[in-house]
Order: sequence, then C-alpha cells, then structure tokens
Amino acid sequence: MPPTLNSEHAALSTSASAPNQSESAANVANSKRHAYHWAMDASHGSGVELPETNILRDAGLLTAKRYLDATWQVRKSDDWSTWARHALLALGAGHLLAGIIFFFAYNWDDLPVLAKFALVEAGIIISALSAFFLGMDRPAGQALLIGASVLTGVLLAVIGQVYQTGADAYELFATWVLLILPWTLASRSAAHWLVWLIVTYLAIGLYGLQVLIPADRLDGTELLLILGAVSAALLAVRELVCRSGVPWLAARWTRLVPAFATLLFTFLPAIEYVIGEHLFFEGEPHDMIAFFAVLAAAASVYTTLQKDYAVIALATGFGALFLMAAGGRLLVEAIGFEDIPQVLAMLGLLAAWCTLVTGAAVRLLSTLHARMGAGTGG
Amino acid sequence: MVDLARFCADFDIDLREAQQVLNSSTGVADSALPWYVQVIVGLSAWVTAIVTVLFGGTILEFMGIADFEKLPLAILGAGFLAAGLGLLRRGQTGLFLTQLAIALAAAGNAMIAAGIWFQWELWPAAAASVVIAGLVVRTTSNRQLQFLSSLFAAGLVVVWLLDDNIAHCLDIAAMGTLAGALILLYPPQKDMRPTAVVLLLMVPLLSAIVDIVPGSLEQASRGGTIAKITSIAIFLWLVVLLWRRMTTRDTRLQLAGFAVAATAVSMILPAGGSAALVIMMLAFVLGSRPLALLGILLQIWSLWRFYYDLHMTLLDKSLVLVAVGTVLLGLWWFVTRDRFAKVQE
Repeated sequence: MPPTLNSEHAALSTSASAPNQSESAANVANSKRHAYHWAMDASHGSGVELPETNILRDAGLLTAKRYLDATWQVRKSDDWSTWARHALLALGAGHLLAGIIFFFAYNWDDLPVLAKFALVEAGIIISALSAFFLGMDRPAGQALLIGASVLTGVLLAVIGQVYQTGADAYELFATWVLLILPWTLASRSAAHWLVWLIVTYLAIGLYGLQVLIPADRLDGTELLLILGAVSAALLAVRELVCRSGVPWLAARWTRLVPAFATLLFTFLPAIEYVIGEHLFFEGEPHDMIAFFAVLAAAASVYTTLQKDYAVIALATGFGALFLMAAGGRLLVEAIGFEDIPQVLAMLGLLAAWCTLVTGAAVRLLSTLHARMGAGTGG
Repeated sequence: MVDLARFCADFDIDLREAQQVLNSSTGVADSALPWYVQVIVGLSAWVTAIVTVLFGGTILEFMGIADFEKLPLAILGAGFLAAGLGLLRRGQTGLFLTQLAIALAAAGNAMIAAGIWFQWELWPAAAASVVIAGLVVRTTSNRQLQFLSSLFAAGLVVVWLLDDNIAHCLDIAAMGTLAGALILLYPPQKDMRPTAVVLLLMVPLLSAIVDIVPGSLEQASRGGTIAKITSIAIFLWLVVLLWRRMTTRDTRLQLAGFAVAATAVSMILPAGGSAALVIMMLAFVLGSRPLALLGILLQIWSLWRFYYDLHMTLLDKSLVLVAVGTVLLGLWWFVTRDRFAKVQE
C-alpha cells in the first residue's frame, strides 16, 4: 500500500507499537524520531518536491520500488487535478475543432458560397453566445471567445477568397485586429491578448513588407525596429496596467513575451549591421544604437524600478551574443580570412573571445542572481 | 510541499544523509541559477564550441589530411569527446566549462558517427552512437549531455530503421515508449531520466523523419498494431497505478472512465498522437511539469503533421479527430460534472 499523507507521529507510533517489532527496527524508529526533531530545529521550512525526490533517488537513499509512492506523496494533487481537467478540455476542444477544420478543408471547393459563409459565421455566433452564457471570465468562456476571434480571421479569408477583393494580406490582418479587439478587451484573458498580439505583429509586418518596403519608404531592418518599438510600447503599457492592479495580466509571461520580442527585434538589425552585408564602418549605426538603448533601458528598469531577474538574464544573453558576433567581425577585419594560417589565428582568437564573453556573462548573472534572486518579478 | 523530515520518516531515509545530499546538490552557485540562465549561457558555450570544432577542422586541413571527412574525422571526434568527458569528470566545473564540455562531447559524438557512416555504412554509425550514449550515461552525471547523446543515438537508429526499410519500424520504435515509461516510473539509481525522455520521443521522432524525407516509409513495412497495443497497455498500466492510490468511489469511477476513453483514443489516433497522450499521462502520474509541457507541445505538433499525412484522406482524418475530440470532451464532462453541479447549486 502506498503511504498516505500521514504525519510523522503516525509513522513513528506504528513502528514503535507493533508487537513483533525487532530491536533494530525500534532503534531505527528512535533514530528517525531524533532526526525529525533535529531537523525541525535545524532546517524548518525545508520541503520536498519532485526534483528533491529525484536527487534522493539518484543518491540511492530512496529505492526504485518506493519512488512512485514518493512522487505521489510530494505532488500537489489539487494542482494536478485542475491541470488534468484543463488538459482534457483543451485536448477535446482542440481535436474537435481540428476535425471540423479538416472536414471543411476536404469539402471546401465543393461547398456553395453561402454554405461557406453560413458555417463560419455560425461558428462565430455559437462561440460568442456560448462564451456570454458560460461567463467570459471563466476558462471555458475565454476559450470560446478565442475560438470566435480565430474564426473571424477565417471569415475574412473566406470573403477574400470568394469575392477576390484584391486586398493585400495586411488589410485582412489589420481588419482582423480591429474586429476582435472588443472581444479581447471583454475576455480579460492574457492568452486572448497573446492571440491578438500575434495578429497585430502579422498586420504590421505585412504592411511593412507589402507597402512600405516596395515603396522604398522603409527597409527590412527598420521594419524590425518598428516591431521592436511596438513590443516595447506594449511592455510599457503592461507594466503600467499591472501597477494599477489588474490581476489577470499579472502572470510573468505577459512581461517576458514582449520583453523577449523587443530584444529580438532590435538584436537582429544590430547583428545585421555587424556581420551582415554592410561593411563594418558603413551602414546604419542607429540599428546598433537602438539595441544598446533597449539593453540600457532593460537594465535600468528591471534592476531598480521593477526588479525582474529573468528579463535581465535575457538582455545579458542577447548582449553576449552581440559581443561575440562583433568580436568575430573585428577579427576577420583585422586578421583576414584568406589562407589557412589566417583562419587558424582568427578562429583561435575568436574561441578565446567567446570564452571570455561567456565567462563574463556567467559572472554577471551569478552576481545579479545573488543580489536580486530568480523569483523577482511579477 | 511535503516536509523533508516527514518524507524521510515515511520512506525510511536517514534525515541527516538526505539533507547532506540535498545541500550538496544545490550548494554550487552556478547550478543554483535558474534554467533559463543555463540555456542562455549554454547557447554562448555552444557558439564557442562550434568555433573550436571549426578550429579543429582547420588544423586537419592545415596538416594536409585531404580525406578528413572519413576516418580521421571520427578520430578527431574521439578527441573532442574525450576532452568533453574529461572536463565533465573533473567534478566542480563552472557553468561555462560544463556547457563547453557538453558541446565538445556532443560535437565529438556527431563527428565519430559521421566518420563511421562515411567510411562504412549507417548501421555501424548508429551502433557506435548507442555505445557512446551508454558511455556517457556510465561516465558522467550530466543530464544535458546524456539527453543529447541519447537523442543522437535514437535519431540514427530511427534513420537506420527507415533507410534499411526494416519491417514494423513503428512497432520497434514503440518499444522505446515502453522502456522510457519503465525507466521514469522505476528509475535506476544512475539518473537515466534524459534517456527515458528520448525513448518516449522515438515514435514522434520517426514520424518527424518520415515528414522530412517523403516516401521514406512504405505503408506495408510500417506496422503500427503493436505500437497501438503498447500505448493502450501503458495507459492501462498507469490507470492501475493510479487506482491503487485513489481511495474514493468517485475518483475510481472517473479513472475507469478515463481507462475506457484512453483505450478508445489510442485505437483511433495515429501512433504519434498516442505517444503524446502517454507522455501527458506519465506527467500526471509523476507530477512532472516538464513532461506535461513536452506532451502538450507534441500533441500540437502531431495534429499539425496529421494534416499532411498522405496515408489517409482529409475526410477520414476529420472523422478520426472529431471522434477523439468527442471522447475527450465526454470524459471532461464526466470528471467535472460534480463540480458543475456544485457551481449551479
């Protein structure tokens, strides 16, 4: 029988009161009792979860036979029950929706135009109404509203396909962004906002690719910088909204996703400036300056105003990769890449430079970890 | 969180020894850093290792070994592998050196396999990779390197199964699922969890390689019946394990409902989807969040790839998915109906 969440008293009294207990077993029980009291004095608050269970198993202190009982004892049963219910709902809804989509994909060409519109619009109406009746602040209601938002995009695609409107793809995405904004606001769900954000990024990206770049009003790196600026603005809005006390937006990932996007969208132009097609001392220095500005802003905001070690770690990682690339470019310029001795010298020095940069990054992150703690954020 | 003293008392573990072990495992400053920092530093270390491997290749070129893509490549790889393992065996290595060692050893592993493959054939390369994975498990306790070397070995074995058109390759890969589940549920003292995860990934890995190389798998040689039986057997086995721990009639009833649904779903779904569900179920039994995340991602991916599966029409696929969705939603209703009733009251 696996152990239940019995107290140490039950375990100890059982071992002490059993009539057929041998002397050695009683000694073990005594030793356990002493150890328990010692531990309560010495390290109160120490707890066991799955990682600790694994460490104890690896050290041979926990037998393979009892490992499963141990994992069962340390797991948070309520959390896992909730997870199982959510997973079942998500899997069931996901498979059903995928099946419906596959069915339409199979029959799509043969369906009359009216049927196509009716099916998609019916899906939107049913999802939105069900969400309204189930409650838009409950997971099922929020999932339904996300479904309605996705189907709105499908409807716009059907309109474009049937009527051959000649509209560019960015117009579809921009209309989609505007149409689903009320639902996104109503659902008060971070996941819904993520969907909205992805569609917004696509709308901006496609507008740049289909209009601004062909008209020579923008180049690719500038488009990335604009996306970076949008991400930074969203991050700023998120921070302000959270400070005013909005609980559903407080999950840490709602900060990390736009922070990562800001860093990535400014890192790519900076890297292109350093190792891309431009010559090292030509091109657009603002690509690199924007990246440095983002790093500086992240460092100042998330080490002082709103301490978050994860954002600082991300910024450090991007900074280290940039320094490695810049070092590589400098070495190529300084030493050359034409014959084998040059390549050997360049690669040898680059390996040393990368080692140095990574070592410095580790030291910086370790120091900050000691000062800030990984759990800072929120 | 369960108190350590209570835990030790329940499982006959010496408390002082347990504390000593736990303290020593988290005492190193670098290993106490969060996982994402380890990923960031790891990325930097890998860039360094790639530069180092290029440096090694250039030395070969400089020495005038013209045909270095064959056996000399394997010999150079053995040098990298030995250097990486040697660094890892030094004990208290810093985070950067650890990552560098992992990258060197992994690169060495790949170079050995590539050298053997080019010199002879694929199967000796796959066999060598399996041996190297075993060596890594035996000589180091580094979980990242174990995962990488096991993944590389599993990948080569799967490619060999497909390349040589070995019959019932799907069923053979499904044995990996069984072995992985066994290792996770009854772990040996040597930490083999990374290898277990790789074994669980063998069926999806096979499906992924089939996607990359269209036509690499003949339907007739694919098998799949044993793979389905294996999935169902693992589900039922996990249900039995849970059953023993459930005490109330309601939870046991829910579990019985789950057993029926899991059997139905495993019979309907393709092997890749079933493998993802097995991983999610294992995550639930063990209480492992990383496994849960892996299962969810695999499930999304398997749905994605199912669309491009050429062995079924879209109509059949849609019927399969609607059936699976209905069963799962029915099960969801079954396990939450009491909760709904309470909310309505």
